[in-house]
Amino acid sequence: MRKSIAVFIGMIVCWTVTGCTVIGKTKEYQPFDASKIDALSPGKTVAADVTRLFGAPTEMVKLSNGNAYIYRRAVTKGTALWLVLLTMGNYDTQYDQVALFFDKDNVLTHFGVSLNAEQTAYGLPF
Amino acid sequence: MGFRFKGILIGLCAVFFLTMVNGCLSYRILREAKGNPVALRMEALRVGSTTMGEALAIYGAPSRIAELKGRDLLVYERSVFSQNSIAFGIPITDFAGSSISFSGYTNLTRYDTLVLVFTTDGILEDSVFEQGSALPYLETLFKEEAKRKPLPDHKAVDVLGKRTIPPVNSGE
Repeated sequence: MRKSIAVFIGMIVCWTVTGCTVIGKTKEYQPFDASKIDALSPGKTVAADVTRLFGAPTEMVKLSNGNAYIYRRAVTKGTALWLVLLTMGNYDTQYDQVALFFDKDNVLTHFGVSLNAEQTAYGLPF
Repeated sequence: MGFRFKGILIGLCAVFFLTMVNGCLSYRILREAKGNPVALRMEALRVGSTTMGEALAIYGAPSRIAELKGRDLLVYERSVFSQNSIAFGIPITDFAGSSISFSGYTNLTRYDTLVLVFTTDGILEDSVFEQGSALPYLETLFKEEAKRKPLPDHKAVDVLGKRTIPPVNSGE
């Protein structure tokens, strides 16, 4: 009887851990070179220099006193785990972003950089 | 002999039960975080003196940029979507014509948002920060929003509460 219970418990454990895991990575690619940020010089760099360095921006915004160009790329890492009764999924998306602000004469006034895409992580949802 | 038969019977029942349950009962937990982490460093912000350049140096590039009635907005945002769902079904279509099934789910999206408002000259005018991801899951999901009390006799009350404003079609 004890042996039967042990077999039964063993079967339940095997059944419960039977499943599969999937990991995946998605990239929204934008070919701007973050190392060229050092070439930017507020007060001197103009919008044409920026597009020459980074290419076409992802987004352009009209502001009260000029314009802003945004360059953005994303990395998503997904983890999914299927067990018999339980399914868990986790998706994490972070961005590399460069926002450049120009005055009415298209001269760069200031810029902000966030390079977080590499911090995207696989993991469980808790 | 009796014990062995009982053990085999239990084993067969267990296999049958697990086979029935496998795929018919499931619980799913899903989490989807989108955006760079948003952390408020309030001590670094001073309304009336912090410039847009300083804010960009502290917080980096914003998620969104907008112009609002002569003011420029930098929006930093991260959303966290959480889903819990349960599904239960007994496939008896072959002999009963239809199956028994039950499913339920809860979805909750919480936002960490920092909005910085700048004047045309690029000086910080206002800032708003909300850390939604710190809110408890179940409490946030099932909390009833406070219902707004209707004003007596459908009359609006001014800010100081001293004077009532008659409704549009009252003829007063």
